[in-house]
Amino acid sequence: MLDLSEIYDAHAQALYGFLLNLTRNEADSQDALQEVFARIARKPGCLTEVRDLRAFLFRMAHHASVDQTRNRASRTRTAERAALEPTELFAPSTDPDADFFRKRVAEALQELPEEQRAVVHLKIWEDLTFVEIARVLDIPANTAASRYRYAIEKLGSHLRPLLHP
Amino acid sequence: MKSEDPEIPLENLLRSLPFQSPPAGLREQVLAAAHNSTQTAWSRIWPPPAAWMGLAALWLLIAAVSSFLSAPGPRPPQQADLVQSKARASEKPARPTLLAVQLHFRP
Repeated sequence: MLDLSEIYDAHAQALYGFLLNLTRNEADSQDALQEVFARIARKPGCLTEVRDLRAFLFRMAHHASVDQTRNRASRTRTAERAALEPTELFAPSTDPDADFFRKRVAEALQELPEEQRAVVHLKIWEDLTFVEIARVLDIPANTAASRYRYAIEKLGSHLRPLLHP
Repeated sequence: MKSEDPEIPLENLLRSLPFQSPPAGLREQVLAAAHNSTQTAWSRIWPPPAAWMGLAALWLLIAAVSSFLSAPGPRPPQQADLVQSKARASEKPARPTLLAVQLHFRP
C-alpha cells in the first residue's frame, strides 16, 4: 500500500530545496512539489519498479519544474518575477556573518544557468554521482560532469573574495 | 567565520548550508491534492447516497401528487363528445316541430 505521507516526510524537505534552487520562487516550488505527489497518486504503480526512490523523486521534481516553466508565458516573465520577489534560498542564521555568506552563495547560484544549478544541487546537496545525476536530468554523464566543473569554477570566482579575503 | 578557513573546500562549505524548509501547511495541502487527484472525473460528479435519497423522496412526492390529481371527478369534454353534439345540431328538426311551424304560419 502506497503511503504518500511517509514519502512526503522522508523526501519533501530535500525536494523543496531542489525546486527552490531551480525556480527561485516559493509558490512555483510548492506547486511543483504538489504536482510530484499528485502524479504519484494518479499512478501509484510507477514506484513499483523503482530501485532508487529518492533519485526517482528528483527526476519527477525536475520534470514538474520544467513543465511549469514551459507552461508559463515566457521564461523572461518568470525571471522578472523572481527578480521582483527575492526568495530566501537558505534558512536564515542567527550569526550575521553566516547569514551574509548564505546570501552571497544564493546570489552566486542564481548567476548560474538553471541546468548547471540543477547539477550542482544534486552533486553537492544530494551527493549523487554524475551517472545518477545524468539519469535524473536526462543528460549524458559527461555533460553532467562538465556542467558541474563550469559551475564550480563560476561559484569559486564569485565566492573567492569571501573565502580568502 | 567558517568560510574564511582556507582548508575547507568550497563544496564542503556549500554542503553545510541548510535550505529553507517547506511551509508548515504545505504537507496537508500536498497530500489533500494528491488524494483528490486519484478520484476520477465521474466519481466527482456521481451523487453521494444523500443525493440519491433526496432524488427518491422527490420521485415519491411527484407520484403522490400525480395520483391525487388523477382521482375520479367531472370528466372534461373529449373529442368524441364534441363530434356527437355537432352532429346533433346539424340534424333536421323532428317532424312534429315542422308541423307546429306550419300550423303557426298558416294564413
